Amino acid sequence: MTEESDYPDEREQKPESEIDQQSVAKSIVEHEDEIRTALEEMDAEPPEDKEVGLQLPKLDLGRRQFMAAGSLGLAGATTGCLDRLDGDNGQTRRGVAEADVPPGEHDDYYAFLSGGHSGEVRVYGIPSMRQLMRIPVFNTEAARGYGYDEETREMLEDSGGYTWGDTHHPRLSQTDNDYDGRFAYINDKANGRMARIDLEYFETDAIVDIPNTQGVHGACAQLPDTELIFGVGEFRVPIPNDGRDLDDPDEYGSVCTAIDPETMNVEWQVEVDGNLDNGDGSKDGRWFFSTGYNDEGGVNEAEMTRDDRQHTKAFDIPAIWDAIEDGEYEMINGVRVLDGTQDSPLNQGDRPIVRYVPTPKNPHGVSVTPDNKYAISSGKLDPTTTIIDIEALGEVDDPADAIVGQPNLGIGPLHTAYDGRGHAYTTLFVDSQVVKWDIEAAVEAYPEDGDGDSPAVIEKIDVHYNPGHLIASESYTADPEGDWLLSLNKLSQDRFLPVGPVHPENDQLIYIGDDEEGMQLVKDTPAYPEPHDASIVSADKLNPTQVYDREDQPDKEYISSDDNEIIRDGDEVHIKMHNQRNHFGFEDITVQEGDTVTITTTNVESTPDILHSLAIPNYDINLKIAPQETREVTFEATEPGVHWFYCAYFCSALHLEMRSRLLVEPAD
Amino acid sequence: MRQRIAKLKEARRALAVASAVLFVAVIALPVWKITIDAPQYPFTLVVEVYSYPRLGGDWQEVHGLNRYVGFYYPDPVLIEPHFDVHHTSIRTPEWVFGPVALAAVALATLYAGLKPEGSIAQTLGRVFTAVVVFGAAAVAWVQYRLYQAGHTLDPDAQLRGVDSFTPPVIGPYEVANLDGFSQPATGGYVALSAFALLFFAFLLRDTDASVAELPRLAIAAPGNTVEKLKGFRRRLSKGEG
Repeated sequence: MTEESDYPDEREQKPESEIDQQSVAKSIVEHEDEIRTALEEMDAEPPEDKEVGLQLPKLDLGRRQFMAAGSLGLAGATTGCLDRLDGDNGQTRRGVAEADVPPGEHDDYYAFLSGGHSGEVRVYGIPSMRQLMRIPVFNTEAARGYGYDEETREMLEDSGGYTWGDTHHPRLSQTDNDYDGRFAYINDKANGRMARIDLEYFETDAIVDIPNTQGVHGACAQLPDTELIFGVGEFRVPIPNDGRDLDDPDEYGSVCTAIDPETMNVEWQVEVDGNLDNGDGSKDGRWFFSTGYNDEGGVNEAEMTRDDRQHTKAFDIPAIWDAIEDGEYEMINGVRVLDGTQDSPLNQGDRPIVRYVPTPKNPHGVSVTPDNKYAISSGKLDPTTTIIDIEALGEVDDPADAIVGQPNLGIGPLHTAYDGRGHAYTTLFVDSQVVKWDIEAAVEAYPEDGDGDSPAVIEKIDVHYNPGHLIASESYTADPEGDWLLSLNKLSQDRFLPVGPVHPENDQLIYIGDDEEGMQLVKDTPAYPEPHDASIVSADKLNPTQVYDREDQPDKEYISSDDNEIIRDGDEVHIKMHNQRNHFGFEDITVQEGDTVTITTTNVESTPDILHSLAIPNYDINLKIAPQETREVTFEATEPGVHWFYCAYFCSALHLEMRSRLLVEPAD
Repeated sequence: MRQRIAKLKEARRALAVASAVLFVAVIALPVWKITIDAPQYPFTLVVEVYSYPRLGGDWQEVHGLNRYVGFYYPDPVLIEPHFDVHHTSIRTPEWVFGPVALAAVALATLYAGLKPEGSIAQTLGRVFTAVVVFGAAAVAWVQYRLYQAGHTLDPDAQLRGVDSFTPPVIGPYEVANLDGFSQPATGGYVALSAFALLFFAFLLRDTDASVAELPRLAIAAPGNTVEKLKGFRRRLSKGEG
């Protein structure tokens, strides 16, 4: 393994500057050389780990197949998708027609895409791929006043005071295994947090800073009724991480965290061997599955890729609650932490709290099939996915015996989505493809005997390039719609007009509603870095409000046009004023230098879409105030002089005239 | 007393009493409304107007639009309304008397409906005539006020280039980019219903037919009318002869 080798992962390689076509091709060649080298090393050293009795069909993969895969990737890189759009006979394909959403028409679905290290969540319409909204979560965002008023500022401050986060897995609350339109939950991989987005207002309403963990990566709701939210720790750290065991990685640990979806308090954590990566839950609420790529407990790349298989962990939720009831936990940083490592007494009985299912190699994505029969865990560094029989998992003595399929799909399988018709769709990161395969056919073909694609493979489609997650409409529910598939590709390379060294990602829309015609690539969509995962929900399952309900702001004082007043108490000044087209409650406000100024302001409009803002530029303030909404801000009047404050939303023809003066008199 | 209640079975009396009740009910309801469509609104705005100085519906939103062109809600002068008025608003003190007028009409109607046998026909005739005259005058007056309002735009309006206009009592009009349509609101339709009941009471003023007999009378009415016309023609032809 070379030092520069760069394994496919969600923290994928970014193109360096001065990318041109030649260097793109070169980098792909280099990349695949590295993979090849790595896998050849595996060829040279066949797995010794016989006791689990696993077939690792792809480890004796022939060189020919690698060459084929490599050239396929390059072919994908150079041909583009125009030929796909036109179809073989020049006629418009069905997917293209289905994807047409004329001006003024609405989409069939909302898609919630994470925003990666932008810290936000984006909302798209499917199939138009129009970006409908961006929801700031761990970042500040002036246009939505997020992080600029007291409430959101405090929320960010109380959850650690960071200015950014790294969102990955937006999951929506469900009731009876179907989206209920209440909340979306989103992790922060960077700072170990979990946030909740209120889907009535499309606003972040709670953030919890999770102790005893770093890098909360996978996120998922316990089904069928969203009784818990799970977040999994990716980076192993000492628990508690207070300076102990600083350079003793064997003592590091990762925890799976369960959060109450209503209070957003941490309920419990389970420490595991190895680390945790990506997660999904069984539809009956018993299991939460999480992959992990570092059973080795390594602290560098070579160590983390040493072993040929790691474990997909299956957390037995009722068993965990039983253990808690029996007091089998330790309080660490105020949280009940259970020992879920393999040697733990809690894992010795006939009802272990965590089952370790051996999975090749550095498995990344795991998702449960809509019928709750299987959890499918993708190999990432192995060309197979591993199909775990969920019912068997609770019955077998050796969790490895619950494996009922291991189809050979292609190079770099990462994530799997479902259409509800028995098909699975898996991204192949290295191959830059999405493979469609038949789940039951893969189970029947098990064990597969080696070379070539599994007989379960139905077809593959090139995507551009290096897909991470993919998601199908309502794939995370018990009843996927089976029409649209979104491939969230990590690189766009040559797909868009160049915009400097930072390339947009490429989210590609694929029509999967016609099994006869097969998958049809219908749209490229540039995305600001960088969406990882998404959830797609039928539009009729959400009911967002257009105007604030005063009853939803019980702790805020509604300021009508009759309530405008300035209350001074010593050097504290409280200004209560309404705002509406085209004025604020006061034409001018006079305070003294050194005063602590609080402004409470209500947008008294009741017409949808008439937003105002309170922008006080010299004090770094911009509040968003939606119709009937009240917001508050406090600041020190440190700068004497005239400070125009204005409405930064273009609210009406007299928008520019909607401004007043803040007069700060100099101190004597 | 029992006798009087028994007499209410007479259709003309029952109709008059019902009419009076409806006239009173109008006070609680918006009598008139303007619906407004504008390019910047995907939905229709509505302003509801009561018989006294009170507005309902999207009056605030419409006020914002009106301000651009210097068109303001009327100033009821005698009371402080819940909506903003302006020094250029037309002054309409009579607006506060709407409920009084409705109550008076209701009382008169009720009075007619309870009149003794000897004078009820005459009283119903007088009240009906009065309501017709009074109603027509009221509509005419409102139309005059609408003209006045549309031609008293604030010369200092924020937006220039909007001409004077006259919203009709019923019908479409245009101002700037707004398509307005004025029409009766719920209360207006209730008032029209009350008027219709009064009209029927007036038609039946000479008969003590009961409510139960109304269907028969209704069926016979066209035939009766034909008979009357025939008789009229006979008389005419005799006259010629």
